Amino acid sequence: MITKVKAGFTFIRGDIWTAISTFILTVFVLVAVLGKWILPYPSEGTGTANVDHLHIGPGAAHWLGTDELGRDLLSRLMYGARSVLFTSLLVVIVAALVGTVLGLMAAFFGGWIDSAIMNISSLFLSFPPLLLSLVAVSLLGPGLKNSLIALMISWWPWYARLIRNEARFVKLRPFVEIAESMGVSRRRIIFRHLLPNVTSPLIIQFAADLGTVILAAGSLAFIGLGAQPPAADWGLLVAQGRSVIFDQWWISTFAGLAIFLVVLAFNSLGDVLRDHFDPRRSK
Amino acid sequence: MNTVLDIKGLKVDFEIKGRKISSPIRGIDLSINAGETHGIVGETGCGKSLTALAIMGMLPANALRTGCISLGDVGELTPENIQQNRGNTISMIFQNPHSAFNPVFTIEQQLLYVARAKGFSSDESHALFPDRLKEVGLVEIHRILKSYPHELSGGMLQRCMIAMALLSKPKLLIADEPTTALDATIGGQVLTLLKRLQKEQGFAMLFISHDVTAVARVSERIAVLYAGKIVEDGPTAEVLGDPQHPYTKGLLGAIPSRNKARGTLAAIPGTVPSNTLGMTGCAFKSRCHLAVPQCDEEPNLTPHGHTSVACWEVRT
Amino acid sequence: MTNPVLEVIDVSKEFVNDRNKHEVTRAVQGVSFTISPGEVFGLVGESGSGKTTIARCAFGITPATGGQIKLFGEDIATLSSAQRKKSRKRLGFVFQDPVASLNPRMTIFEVISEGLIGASLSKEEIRSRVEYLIEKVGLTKEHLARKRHELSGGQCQRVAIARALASEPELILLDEPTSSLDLSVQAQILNLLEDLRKELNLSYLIISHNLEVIAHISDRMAVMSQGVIVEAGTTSQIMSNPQHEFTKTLIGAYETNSTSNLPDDFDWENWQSAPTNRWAYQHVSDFIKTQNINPAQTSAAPRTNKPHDSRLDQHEVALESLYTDALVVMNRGVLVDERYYGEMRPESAHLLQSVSKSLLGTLYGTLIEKKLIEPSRTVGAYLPQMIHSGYSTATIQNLLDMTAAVDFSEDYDDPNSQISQLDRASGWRISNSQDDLGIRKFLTTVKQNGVHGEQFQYCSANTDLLAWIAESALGKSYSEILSEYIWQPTGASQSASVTVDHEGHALANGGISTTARDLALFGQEILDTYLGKSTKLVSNAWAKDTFGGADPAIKSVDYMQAMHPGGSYHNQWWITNSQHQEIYAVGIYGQYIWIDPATETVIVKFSTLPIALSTKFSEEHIALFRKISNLYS
Repeated sequence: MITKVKAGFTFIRGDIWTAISTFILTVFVLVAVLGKWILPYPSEGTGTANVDHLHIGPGAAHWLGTDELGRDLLSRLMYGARSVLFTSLLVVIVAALVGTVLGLMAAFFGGWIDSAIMNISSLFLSFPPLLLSLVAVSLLGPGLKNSLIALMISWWPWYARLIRNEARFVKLRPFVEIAESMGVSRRRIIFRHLLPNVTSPLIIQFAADLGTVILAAGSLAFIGLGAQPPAADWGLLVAQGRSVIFDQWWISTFAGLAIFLVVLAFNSLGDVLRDHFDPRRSK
Repeated sequence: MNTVLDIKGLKVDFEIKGRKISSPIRGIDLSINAGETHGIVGETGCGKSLTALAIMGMLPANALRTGCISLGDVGELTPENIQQNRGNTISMIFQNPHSAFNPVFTIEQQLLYVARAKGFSSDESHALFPDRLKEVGLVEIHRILKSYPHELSGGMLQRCMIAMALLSKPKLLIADEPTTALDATIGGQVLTLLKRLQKEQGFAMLFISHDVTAVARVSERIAVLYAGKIVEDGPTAEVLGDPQHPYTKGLLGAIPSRNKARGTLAAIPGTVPSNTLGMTGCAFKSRCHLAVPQCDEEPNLTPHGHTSVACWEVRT
Repeated sequence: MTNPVLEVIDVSKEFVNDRNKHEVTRAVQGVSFTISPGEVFGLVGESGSGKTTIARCAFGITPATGGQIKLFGEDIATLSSAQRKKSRKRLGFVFQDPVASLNPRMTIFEVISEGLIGASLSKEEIRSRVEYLIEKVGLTKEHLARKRHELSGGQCQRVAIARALASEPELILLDEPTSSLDLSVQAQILNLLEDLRKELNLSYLIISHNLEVIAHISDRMAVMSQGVIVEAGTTSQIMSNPQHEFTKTLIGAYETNSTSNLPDDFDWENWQSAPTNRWAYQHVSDFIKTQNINPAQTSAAPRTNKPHDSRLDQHEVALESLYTDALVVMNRGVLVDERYYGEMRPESAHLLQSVSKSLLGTLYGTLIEKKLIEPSRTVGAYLPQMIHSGYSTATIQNLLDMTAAVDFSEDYDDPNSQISQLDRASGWRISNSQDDLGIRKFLTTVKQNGVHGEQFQYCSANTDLLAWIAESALGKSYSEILSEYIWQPTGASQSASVTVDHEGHALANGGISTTARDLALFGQEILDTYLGKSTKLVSNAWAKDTFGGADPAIKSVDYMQAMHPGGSYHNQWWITNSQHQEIYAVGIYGQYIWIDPATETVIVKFSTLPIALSTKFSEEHIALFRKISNLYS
């Protein structure tokens, strides 16, 4: 256990950015997990209005000020962290799962299966991601659940293509060829030979995507097609603060800053992981 | 005798933050005369390629080189003067011809680039190239000049590389595994070519390879390298015909041949040491069946007939 | 006739360009070869020769475009997927890059055991098999928990070999198995492959661009260039007598200086006869594998002067007409005359042909006296492998006196006679299939034809069988035994040699080469033993028994009685039963050791007669020897 923790620290020792990103992400995850129990203003965080404290700027009582319904902004952000994290995780996990399975199939079987899967993926990928989600949501109707479905639909092709390309290279490696020659079952080749050797790019993509999905989900919420009030989704908060941006600048700003920091941190994590898994390093 | 390359006491250490982490070359003395080829033979990790890099002044940043390398009239090669000698009085050819050429330029463009760097004008170069390519045995000169590297075979590219290396009429040619990536028959032709060019142009050649047969074909003298030191050195026929050092014997005994019964190839126990740091005495002693207590003291190259051997157990 | 494990019949493979369906590459065209059980077959060629492609087709990895492939007797194109799976288990694969051929995410244990999945073995059985395999390839159980990045290249290749052996295969494909390894590591792996092959009776198809590796390890080989086989045959034949230009070029690429020693007109099929034999008998090691029979370490330097007895000059014409290469005469223990003709020198070693048998006969004298061999025991008692052969109930003495009743023809001109088969088995003649190779293998096929011990029947195979028995009883190679018991005590000054087959077993019936002087020393020892002057080789009792001839109850043959009335064959020597009580050793094409106790003369003659034997040549030789001996009476 100690060695794993120690290994973890050497992992992040890299440089100042890595340290900062790790710090941000740690805080983010903690906040998301602990949720309601650590909000400075629990009831306000979850949505209860407080008409007396409308539009208070950042100060001692409310570090980040209050929103248009008088709710403590910090609490709102903290409460929203949970939804942001979990929705992002859900989307990426589902997209990765579906995409990986399809990608492995395409790589292993080749032929028409590969063509079919790749053509469908290409179809989806040719749309700008947000546009696709928009179309999906317009068809399904606004709301958090539908925006998530829309995001999943637009996200899985990335994984399908990524995994399919990586797995195709792995399939050419001698140890796979030998396994096939020895008569190893197809299922075993896919899951014991191809899959374990594509996990590095998978993990890298996963980490980076967590950030990207947050941004995408936030964008959908921002234009009103994602989470609906009174949810504490950060994109929604940015939207809500938009109309009062010149007077109560703190609402959109801090919500936007939160998104910015977390997405940046996830992207950094992706870079760190990429360097870690770089084959030259493991020589 | 006209000494072109003279290496005395070459040592290379690698260090990090002032602390030595390995000694891949622990003391090499070598000299080559004009028109002669000296071969270096050894297995992975013996330091043969590093020796070439040391001469070329192309060691990695954290390498510390001591000892003296001097080149004919030029004198000692230092970090200051190595740049103007590299590719000029000393040229090098490498193992993989495909990696020596830029894939997006034609052969002609790349030769031109080198020629211009040597001070030839464009016109002079264009007049020069057909002759140089013919010299290395190429026939379809115009087609080759206009081709990209991937359009040519390994053997042809290797000849182009040789032509490029000899553009400046160097005094010393270093060949690092030039035939390893080629088919045996093509490689044989390249070796014959190198020998012919050496006879015509009179350059000295340092031929480095793990392939004993290839080294034997072109070298008048052979040095056997083990863990960064030369353990045996002498005329090719004598070193190969009557090896003295136990490592040389083991190495030669390991070469497969139809005259050796199956299952009887010499198998030296143990493995080549990956890092000789902190090792005392002969680096081979842990693998040597002749090891005696005296081997705890490092044996130096001592003359034994026409060869030199670094071994206490070889009586003069 | 054992079934081949692999038959490739007129196989072709074409690749179609994905983009342009009309562009077709013929990687392999009309290739045929077979591999027999226990054989190593080597495919050598450069890049683009098609060697890897044909190997992959042969093993069912890539489908062939034309031709037929039979694995273990079954056409692989007709197999159902279940049958194909079964067939796969009998194969093993070892590829070039040892590191890349192992899954980096799997432990070594998982790598090796992968081939055993689905074989309905329990976990314990799998574990014990994997542990058995890892040790068989020279690693330890500790390695099983590691992953590939913790092992060196050589160790990874050993793991790959262990994996290939997991399902107890019979045929293994090795595609450039040592090309990415250092020289000394390559040697270890090649040695390991040979040890495994012998122990587990594997067959190998080995592919390499490195001719030295192929020539070292293969029994038979084929040279490929641009998709076709340009030359195929036994390794000895191809390496010493390449026919195709490409083969010659390839061999030349590995020569450090000179090219092959064989004369341009070397005739592989007929080297024993004229005109090739003149050169061949003095250079046997150049074209057949031999082992040395070592003299004593402290042997005296050979004498430099050649004694000459002018009284023998009158026989020069006769010597020439008898195609003499060398004549050495000793009288009363002293060298009195030496003559050499043509290329022959005192230090030239010359083929003895059947004179080799007499060395074995003498050897057996010692072994029997030392109680290492019991002459009345049967072949079957010494060699279980021979129990089902025609030799099974023959005794050692039967073999020594050539009274084994076997179906064996010594007709040298008949390519189907047993002596021709034995020649092919030992590598003296070209063979076309693996089945022909191997002296011991041939010996097991000899059939009985009558009752052992009754009738004299000269049969060369008897001597080879005796050599096998001696090796088995003493646990050493024949060359070592001869060195220890015969060559060193004789005081020979130069190594002798004996030809060996592809497995390293000596052809005792005729493959020994010695110098004339050393052979004369041997003859002198025999004479001295008989005269009671020496017991370096055998006892006086043995000599007396031998010179006294075989058991009179044995039925003789006409040609023997015509030449030597009352004579016989005893202990691998010809006993004349003449007035002088001479005995002699003789080999075809004119090789002799003539021992005359009456005049205390020993004569050694090496010749290269144009034909194997004839009554006329035999009579002339004996007449000549008697004339020479009488000079010293």
